[in-house]
Amino acid sequence: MTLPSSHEVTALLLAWRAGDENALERLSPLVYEELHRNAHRYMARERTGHTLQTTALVNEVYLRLVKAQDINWQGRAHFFAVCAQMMRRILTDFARSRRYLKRGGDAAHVPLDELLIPASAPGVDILALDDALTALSGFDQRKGQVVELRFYGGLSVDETAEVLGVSVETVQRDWRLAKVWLMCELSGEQPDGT
Amino acid sequence: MEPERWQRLEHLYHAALALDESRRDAFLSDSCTGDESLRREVAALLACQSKAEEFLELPALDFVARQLAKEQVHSSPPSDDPNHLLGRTVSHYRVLSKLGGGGMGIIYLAEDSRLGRNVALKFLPPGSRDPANLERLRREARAASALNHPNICTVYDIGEFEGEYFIVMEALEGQTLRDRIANASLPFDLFLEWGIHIADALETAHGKGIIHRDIKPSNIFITPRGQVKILDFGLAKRAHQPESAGESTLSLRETHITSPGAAIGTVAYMSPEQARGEELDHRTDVFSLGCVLYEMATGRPPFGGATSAIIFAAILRSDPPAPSLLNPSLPLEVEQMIQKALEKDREVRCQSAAELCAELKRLKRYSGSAKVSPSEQQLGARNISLRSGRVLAIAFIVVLAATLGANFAGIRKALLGQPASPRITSLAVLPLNNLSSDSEQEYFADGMTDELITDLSKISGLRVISRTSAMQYKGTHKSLPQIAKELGVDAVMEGTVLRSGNRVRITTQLIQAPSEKHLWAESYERDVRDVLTLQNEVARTVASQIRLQLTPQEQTRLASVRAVDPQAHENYLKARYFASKLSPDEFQKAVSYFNKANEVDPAYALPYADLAETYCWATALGFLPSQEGLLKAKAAASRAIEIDGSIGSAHNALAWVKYINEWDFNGAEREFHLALNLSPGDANVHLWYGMFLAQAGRVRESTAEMQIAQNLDPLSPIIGSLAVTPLLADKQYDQALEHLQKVLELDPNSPVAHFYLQSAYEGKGDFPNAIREAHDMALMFGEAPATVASRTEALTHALTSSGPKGYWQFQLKSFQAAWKKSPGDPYVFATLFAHVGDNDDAFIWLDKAFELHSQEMTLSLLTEPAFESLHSDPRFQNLLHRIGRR
Repeated sequence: MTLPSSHEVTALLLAWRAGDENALERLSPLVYEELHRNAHRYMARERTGHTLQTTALVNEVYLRLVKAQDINWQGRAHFFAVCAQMMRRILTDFARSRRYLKRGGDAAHVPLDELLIPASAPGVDILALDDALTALSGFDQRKGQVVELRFYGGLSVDETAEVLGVSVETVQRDWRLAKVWLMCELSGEQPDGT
Repeated sequence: MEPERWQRLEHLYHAALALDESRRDAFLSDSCTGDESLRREVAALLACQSKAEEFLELPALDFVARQLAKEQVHSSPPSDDPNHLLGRTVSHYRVLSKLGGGGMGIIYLAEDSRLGRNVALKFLPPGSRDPANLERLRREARAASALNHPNICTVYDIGEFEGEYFIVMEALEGQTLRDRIANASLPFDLFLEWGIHIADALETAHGKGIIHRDIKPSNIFITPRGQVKILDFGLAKRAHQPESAGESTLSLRETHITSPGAAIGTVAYMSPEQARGEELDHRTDVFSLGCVLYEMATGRPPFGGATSAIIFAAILRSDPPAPSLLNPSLPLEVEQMIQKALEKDREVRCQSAAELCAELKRLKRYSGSAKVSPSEQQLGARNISLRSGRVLAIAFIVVLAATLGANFAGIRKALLGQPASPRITSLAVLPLNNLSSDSEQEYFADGMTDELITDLSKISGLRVISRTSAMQYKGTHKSLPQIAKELGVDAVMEGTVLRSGNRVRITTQLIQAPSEKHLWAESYERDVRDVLTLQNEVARTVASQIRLQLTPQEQTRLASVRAVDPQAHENYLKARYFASKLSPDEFQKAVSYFNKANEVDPAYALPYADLAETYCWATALGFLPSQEGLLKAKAAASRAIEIDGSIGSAHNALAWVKYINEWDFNGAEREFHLALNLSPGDANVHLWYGMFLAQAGRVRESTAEMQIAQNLDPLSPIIGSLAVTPLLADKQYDQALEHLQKVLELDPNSPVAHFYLQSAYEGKGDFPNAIREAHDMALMFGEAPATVASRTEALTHALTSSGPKGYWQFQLKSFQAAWKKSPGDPYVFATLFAHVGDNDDAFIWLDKAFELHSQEMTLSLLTEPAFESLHSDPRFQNLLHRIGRR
C-alpha cells in the first residue's frame, strides 16, 4: 500500500472522523512507517548501550501531516484532537496484533516494561491502557481527552490546554490525576477496580 | 464510577496532595469518615503518585517504537508454561505445587523423595543458562549451603533439569517482610526483634566471607511463628553477574534485570558502590540492611522513584528524609543508627552488621524498661533534620531534573514555586463537617463555621459570604466551582471539625474557584479553651494566603482574643445556632443559652452582643413587644460594648435601638458607622443601615447597602426581602416585584417576601394580585383554607363592586375583627383609616402608635403612600416633630 500524500491525509482524517473505518487503514501505514523508522533508530542506540533520549517522534509525524494544513486555529485544534484519536486507535490495534502474533491471541496482557531500557518511562500495557482510558472517559470525559492528547497526541500541556480551551492549570491537574488513576488501574491497585 | 463520587475523590486527592505527606493520612481519615472505601481509593492513588510521575510521559508513538526496538534486540524465547513441571519428578524431587514466581524465577514446592521432606525448588530465569554461570552458581551455592544459621534459609542443592538450573532450598511458610510491612511502620518491639535477627544472620555470613548483595524486604521471610529467614543467600546477584569485562557496560543494566516489575524493588536497596558497578564487600549488605531497617521503621524505603534512573540518582546523591519525620515516635538513637548505616561512603558507614546488631540489642534492653517517647532532645534534632531535609529535597529536585532532562524553566518553577495566584476578593466558608459521631455536636461545627465567617468578615477588602447563605450548602453534593458560581465568589473554604472531650481539631482548606486550585490547607488541634484564638489564626492565615494586606487595626482585632471558658463557648454556639432559626420557640432557647454563656463567663462579650441583635430581630419579627425587646437589646449591647468596644454586632444592635426605639437618628447613624468599620463583612449591619437609609429617603445609599448585604448573604430570603425597602420607599413597584420574585425562587414560602409583594401590588394599584398574595400568605400562616377562601371571595367582591376603596374598607373591617381577638400594631389601623379617607381616626391611631414606639411607624411613616395626603396636615407635622424627624 502506498503512503497517502499529505493532501490526502486531511481528507482521510475527515473521512475517518465521519465514520469511514477504511480511512483509518489508509492512514495506518503512515504511522507504521514512522514507528519502524524510529524503532530502528532506537535499536542502533540500544545495541551500543547508549542511554536513550526522548525524541519527539509524534511531532515529526504531525509535522508531516500538518504540512498539508493551512487552516485556522480552530481547525488546527480539531485536527490535533482527531490525530490523537487516530494515533490511539492505530497504536492499540498495533499492540493487539503483535500480541496475537506472539501469543496465539489468548495470552495475558504483556506489560511493556522499562527494565531493559533503564532511562525510559515505566511500562505501559497499551491494550490495558486503552480499556482503562475508555473507562475513565466514561465518567470524566475531559480527563480522557487530556490523556488522549498528551499521550497519544504527544501534545505539551500548553498545547493541550489550547486544544481543549481550558487553563493550563486545569490540564495539569487533570493529567496528574488521570495518570495516577490509570496507573493504579493498570497495576490493579485500585481497591475499587472500576 | 459515579461522576459524583469521582468528583469527590478528585477533590480529596488534590487536597491531600497539597498537604505535607505526613499529614495526608490524618486528613483523609478526617475527610472520609463513614466512607472507608473512598479513603482507601484516595490513599491508593496517593501511594501511586510518585510512581506515576513518569508514567505516560513518553508519547505513545515514541513509547511503542522503543518497545519494538527492545523486543527485537532482546528477543529471547518466551519462558515455558510454568505449570508444565507440576506433578513431574525433577531429579529426585516430586513437584507438588507452584509457590510463586518472583524476581528470581519460579518457585515450586516439591517433595524430596530421598529424605522425605518438603523443599522449595527455584528455577532460575533463562538469562542464567550460560555454563560459566552455572559453575559460579555451584560455587556460591556450596558456600551458602555451608551457612548454618536459624535466620538463613538453607540451600540444600543445585541441579539442572531440561537445560534449566534450579536451586533446592528450605521450604518456608509465612510471608515476606515486604508484605508484612505493607507501607506501615512495624511496632517498635518487632522492629528491634527482627532487626537483630537479620543483622545477626548477616554477621554470620560475613564472617564466612559470604556477601548477600541483595538484601531487601522481599528477600526476608517471616514464618508464622515470627521467625526471620533470609532468602537467596549468595545467589541473587551472582546468578546474573556477567563474567567478561567486555560486558561491563551492561552490568548496571543486567544486575537489576531480575524480573519485570521487580526491578524497582531491587534497585531501591542497592548500595551506592553497587549502583556504580564497583567491587563489593560486606559493607554493601550493611547499606542494604540500613535501607531495610529504614523501611521497617517508617513503612517506606529510603530511596524511591518512578524509574531506576531516579532511584539511582537518589542512592548516589540524596539523603532520605529523616526517619523520625515519617515516624515521630522513633527514638533518636534508632534514627542515628539507620543514618549511619546509610552513609554513602562505605569508609564512614557503619562498618559491620555486628555493629548494627549490638546497637539494636542495646536498644532492646532499654526499651523494655521505659516506654520510648519523643524527648526534648529528639524534637530539637527533628527540627534540624527537617531543615536539612528541605535543602536536600531541593538538591534532589535538581538531580532529578537533570536526570530527566527537564528544562531550566521547569527547575526554576519547582524551586521558586508557582507564580502568584490571581487576586481573591471574595470567599465563602462552607459549613464545616462535623466528624464526631455525636450529632449533638452539630451545633459546634456550625458554630465554628459561623465564627470563622465572623472573623473573616472583619477583614476589609474581602467579601465573605454570610452564615445563612453558606449554611445552605450543608451536606451539599454540588461541586465547588458550582457553589462558587452560585455565590459569586473567587474562592471557597471548607473543612472539618472533630471535637473530642476538651480537644478540638479542625482541618480547613482554601480552594480557588473555578480552577479548583488548592491555595492552602491546614489542620489544627487545640484545647477547646483556645478555640477563638485558633479561629483568628485561621482568619489571619487565610488573609495572608490570598495576599490581603491587613490593616494594623484588623491585625490587632484578630490577634487580641482572650481564652474562653469551654462551657461558656459551648452555650454561646448553641445560642447562635438557635438564634439563626428566626422562629419564636428557637428564639426563647437562644436567649436562654446566651444567658447561660454569660452566667458561666460574665466577662465574655460576644454572647451579650449577639443577644442584643437577637432581641432586635425578635421584636422586628413580632416575637415580643417592641419596647420590651429593644430595652433588653440595649442593655445587652451596652454591656458588650463595655467589655469590648470592638464588636461590630453590638454597635449594630445599639444603632437599631437608637433608630427604632429612641428616634435618635444621628446617634443611630454614628453607631451604624462604627459597626460598619468594625465588621465590614457583616451582612446584618449593611441590611439594618440600609433600612435606616431607606426610611430617611436616602434611596441611592440605601440601595447600595442592600446590594452589599445581599452580596454577602445571597441566599438569605429574609435579607433578600428586606432589601426591597428602598425600592418600595421610592415607589419603584415593578422593580420591587421583580426583586421579590427572585427571592421567592430562593424560598417560595418566605412570609416577609409575600408581605412586601402584597404591599408592592397595593402600591401599584394592582389589587387582584394583592388579593392573591394575601390569600397565599394566610394559607402560609396556617389559617383554615375554608376561612381563607371565603375571605378572599368577599375581598374580591368588595374590590369589583367598590374599587380600591372597597378593598381598603374590607381590610379595615377584617383588621378590626382581628383586633378584638388580639390587638396588633395600632399603626396598621392608622394606615387603613387613611386609605379609606378617615383622617381623624388615622391620627388617633397614629398617636397610639407613637405611644407604643411602633416599629412599623418608624420604618415607614415617611414613605407610606396612605399618608401622602396628610403630609401637609399640622397633626402630621407635629408627629414628625415629636419623633425627631423635623
